[in-house]
Amino acid sequence: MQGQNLKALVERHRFAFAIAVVILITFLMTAISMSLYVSSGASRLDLSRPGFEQARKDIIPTPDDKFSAEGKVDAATVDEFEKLYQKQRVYLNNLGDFEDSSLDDASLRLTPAAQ
Amino acid sequence: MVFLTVPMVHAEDMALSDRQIQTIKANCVQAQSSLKQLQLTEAATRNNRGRSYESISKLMTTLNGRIVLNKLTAPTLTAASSDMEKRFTSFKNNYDSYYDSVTATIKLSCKDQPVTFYDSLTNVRELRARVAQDIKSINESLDAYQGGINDELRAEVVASRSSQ
Repeated sequence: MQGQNLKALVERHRFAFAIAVVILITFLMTAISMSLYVSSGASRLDLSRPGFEQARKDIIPTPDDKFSAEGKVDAATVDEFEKLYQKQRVYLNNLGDFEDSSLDDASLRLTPAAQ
Repeated sequence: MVFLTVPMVHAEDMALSDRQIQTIKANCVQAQSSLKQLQLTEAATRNNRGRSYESISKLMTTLNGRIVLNKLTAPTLTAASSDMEKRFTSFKNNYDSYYDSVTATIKLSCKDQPVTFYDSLTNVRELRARVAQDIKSINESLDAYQGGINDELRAEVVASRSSQ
């Protein structure tokens, strides 16, 4: 009897019921997407978030030279490879290395002033 | 049962004097702001490093494949590129932990919980040191690969040329 009432109710408000189902599915899909976004670690690397404007400006294009996967390997090939390899290493050497003193007590002013 | 009622005392708690706690309370909001700024700067560094490591790894894989296709052997290069991959994975994982730890430290109500804040900051420093260590390890792998090119591959190329 209850099932029939429910069926009749859905029949009467078919459009509203369809909208409710669509909204529910949207919520579900958004929740799944957000959980994947966070759990995959993508959220930590996403610089398009608000507040990351400066970080976006600090992105330096990576050298994007191609090295062919086919062909002989001779002295010239090794020289060509080394040139590309060194380019990447120079690029890396100019980046921060998470080692500066930014987190020291003194830098964060967490050391009591001398009396 | 008595030990269950004894409050846990973290080693860091005991190291802080009253004066230090007062200083932390007074300056921690500014410190959190500096942490936030550092997090933004280092997010760009992480991105730049990540993309470059991927590019250099692709270069290494391509050369290794070409060496195999030409029936040459360079085990140092294969080992160094495999090491580099492992260390890059460690770098990514440690950075994620570091990032999460910084985020948690920034969110703390540090004026009410100065000791917890300092403990959290100590944890942030340890995780940051791990990321720095990963970078050093990756550099070692890249040095080893470079050494392999000079010592092993060049010799192998000369040997294969003379045997033809």
